Amino acid sequence: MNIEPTYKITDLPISQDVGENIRHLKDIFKNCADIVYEHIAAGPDMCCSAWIVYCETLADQQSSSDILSVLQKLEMHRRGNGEMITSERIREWFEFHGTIDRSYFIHDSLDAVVRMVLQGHVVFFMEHWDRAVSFDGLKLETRGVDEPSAERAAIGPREGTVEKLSLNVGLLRLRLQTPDFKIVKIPSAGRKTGKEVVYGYLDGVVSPTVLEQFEQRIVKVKDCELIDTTMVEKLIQDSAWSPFPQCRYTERTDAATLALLEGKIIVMTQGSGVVLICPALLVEFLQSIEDYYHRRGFTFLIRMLRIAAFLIALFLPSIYVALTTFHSELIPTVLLLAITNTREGIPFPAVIEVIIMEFFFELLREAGIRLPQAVGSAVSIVGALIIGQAAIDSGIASPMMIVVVALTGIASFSIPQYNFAIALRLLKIPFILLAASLGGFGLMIGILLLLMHLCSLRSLGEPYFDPVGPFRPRKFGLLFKAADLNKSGQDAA
Amino acid sequence: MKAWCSLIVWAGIMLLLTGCWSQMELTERAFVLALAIDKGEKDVLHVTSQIYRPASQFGAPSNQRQASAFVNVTLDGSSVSEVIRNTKTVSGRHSQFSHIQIILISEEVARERLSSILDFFFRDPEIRLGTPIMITRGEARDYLTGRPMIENTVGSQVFKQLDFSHYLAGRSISTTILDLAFQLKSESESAMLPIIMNEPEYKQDVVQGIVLAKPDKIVGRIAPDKAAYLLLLANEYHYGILDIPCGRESDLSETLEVVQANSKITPMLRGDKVSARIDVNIKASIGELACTMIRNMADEDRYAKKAERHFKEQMESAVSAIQKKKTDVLGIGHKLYLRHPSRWKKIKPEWPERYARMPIEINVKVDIMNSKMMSPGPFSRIGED
Repeated sequence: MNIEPTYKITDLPISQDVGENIRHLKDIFKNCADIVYEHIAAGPDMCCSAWIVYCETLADQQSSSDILSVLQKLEMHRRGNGEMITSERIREWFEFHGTIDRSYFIHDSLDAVVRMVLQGHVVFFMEHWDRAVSFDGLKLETRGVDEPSAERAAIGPREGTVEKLSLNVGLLRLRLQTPDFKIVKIPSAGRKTGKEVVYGYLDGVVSPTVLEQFEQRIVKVKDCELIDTTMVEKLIQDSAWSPFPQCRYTERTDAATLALLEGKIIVMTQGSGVVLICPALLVEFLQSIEDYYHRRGFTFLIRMLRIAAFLIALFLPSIYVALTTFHSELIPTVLLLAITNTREGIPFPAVIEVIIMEFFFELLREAGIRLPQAVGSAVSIVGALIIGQAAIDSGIASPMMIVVVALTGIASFSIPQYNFAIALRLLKIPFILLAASLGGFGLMIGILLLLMHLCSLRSLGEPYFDPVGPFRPRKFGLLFKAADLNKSGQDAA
Repeated sequence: MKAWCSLIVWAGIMLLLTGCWSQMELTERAFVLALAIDKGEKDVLHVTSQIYRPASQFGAPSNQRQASAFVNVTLDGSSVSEVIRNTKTVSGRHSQFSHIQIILISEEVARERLSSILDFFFRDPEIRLGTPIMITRGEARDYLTGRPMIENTVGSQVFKQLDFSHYLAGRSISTTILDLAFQLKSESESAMLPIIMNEPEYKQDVVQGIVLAKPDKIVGRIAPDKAAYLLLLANEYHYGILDIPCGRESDLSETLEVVQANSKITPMLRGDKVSARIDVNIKASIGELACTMIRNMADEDRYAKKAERHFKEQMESAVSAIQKKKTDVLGIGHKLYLRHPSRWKKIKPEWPERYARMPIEINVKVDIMNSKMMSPGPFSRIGED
């Protein structure tokens, strides 16, 4: 994503001649209609010629007038002292960091000025001065803090992140009022997008080796054109070929806080409400923040349910294919007779039937996501009623198959993390093919390969399948209950 | 990389060369739910397989209701496996035996040959060893025709009947292929098989009674009312109702509902004399009373003693019946062999004769647990005293 800029990198210093500076800028911002150049004459005798440059779509109109009022105030102040206000005086004022009611930055290169203008700063040039002063005037409309629609919970805070980075960091800072909560800024990643990327961790809780690994990898972000936080995953993941995601995402501030308390590293970018949590382990994808808010018994039950959902989403269609085509003797007689009834008259082998119905299901799911909400529900009705019923009536699929495919779909919906459910959807297909070619034996081969992969996969150097992969029975509790938080900080890492 | 490629190729070839290839769609299989074996002329066997006929959901619903859920295919041959292999030529589908509910063998065939028929069932990997075997009175295939009463197919109907008859009624015994193998290959070399008979009066098939089998043939039959006592002796009785006649002065009888029954067979070898003791413990509740009033503990004891006497009589007659047939279905010979393996070698050749003559002592103990909802006296006599 390394795109060379069309304009020459201007390590040009700011010239004493204001006119020349403005000419350069106009050259750089050619055909950028939203850049405004305002010429003003300041000083008692209009002696000081000055320019204000800003991007009107980013910066507040108020900011440029603020500058003017600052200058006026300066003038009044000086006049009271009986001194003449000159450009030198103003210059000195800024250079010695005199007090004004706005914070400002002083730049000495045109490159910096260009960047500042594009970040919504109002830049102020003055005659006979080889510096430029910029004021932050960024004003953007943001969405209000709202409950994230993808991560609803019955109980717990309804606070979600928004597209504004500073607000997001603030929301987190409010929840972690400790100097141990470190926020590291990478000011502008990517030459074109110039994203502000931030990563945070809880010092003392995060494992130093993980942090070191992470920092080595996150450096690369500077050369990447980022659009969303999710793209950071590609930089920090261990294996790009694995179907399993090695980062989690959340839009809930409480979930992000919890991740920090558990020793995770979070990444956020300007313009995206997605919080990336890494390193992620397999068991964590079956956990939800809500588990921490419920009583222990219910949490246990819901975790068991999710483990079952995980297995169903991954294996159910392949088990069905293996049982009906290879191991019909394993099906109880009454159920077998019921299945043979439903299968009778279906022209396709079970594996083709599964693939057709899975294809229908994925098609419906994709259509449902893309369409507007009102039409989307219509699609699901069409999908469920018309296609399902019609497929049965026309003899393409058996009712038992509809049950299998629907159950698989529902199970994959009940996985709390969407990106993990995608992995299961991907893996389902090779398992179906293995089951269709070698039956239970093929399934076993597939499961062995899967286990081998999971046990060798690392997430920022951490074993991904922990506590099952490196077999640690003492940590098995993590599978079934929410971690105790009253101990974290000392031995969580 | 090259090593990996060749590894994958070799692994794939190895998988394909095993020869174990059982992939077959459900619609290519015919599920056999019951087998019936009858005698034809000379050594020919008539083998009937009951094949499940799946009801396709695409036909008109009215047709479906009329068509029965199964078809019977009968073929002749000199061996079971030959006939079964040929079944495909009739049904057009590959017969699958893993879900056989019951194997019916007609009395006529079983009287002549039993082991030679059974060989196929022990050998074939598809047939479950848990499949029950049953002897039929009359032609075995007749029991597979007609409409099942409740179940989908006649085969499963018969299987359920057998199950009930053994475990809840105590009128027959459920013997699986594996049980049969154990019994026939034990030192006693005798087995008990259930029997199904047709009651022409009511036009219904009933599973009741026990057939006594030797390895090569069946040798006799125990009537249903005696079967219960044989089961009690063999420790195979689970639940059921036992009759106690009122006595000389009336034809009425009373019943006990057995809640728990167990027995212990102790063979004894003193010098050259073989004898056996069988202790039977019955825990029962009162089923019906007709002529007995139980007012106190002494009455109850007396009643229990009466039941014990009656049961003992019945058991003795059952034992003498099996002794007369020289079939050691209680496994006394096998127990003796386990206790005295070296001396058994000498006993074994003449065992059937010695068994027929040996004294068997039976001790029965009846515990009356409760009288259910009512006070322990006959309903008809309440308020008489």
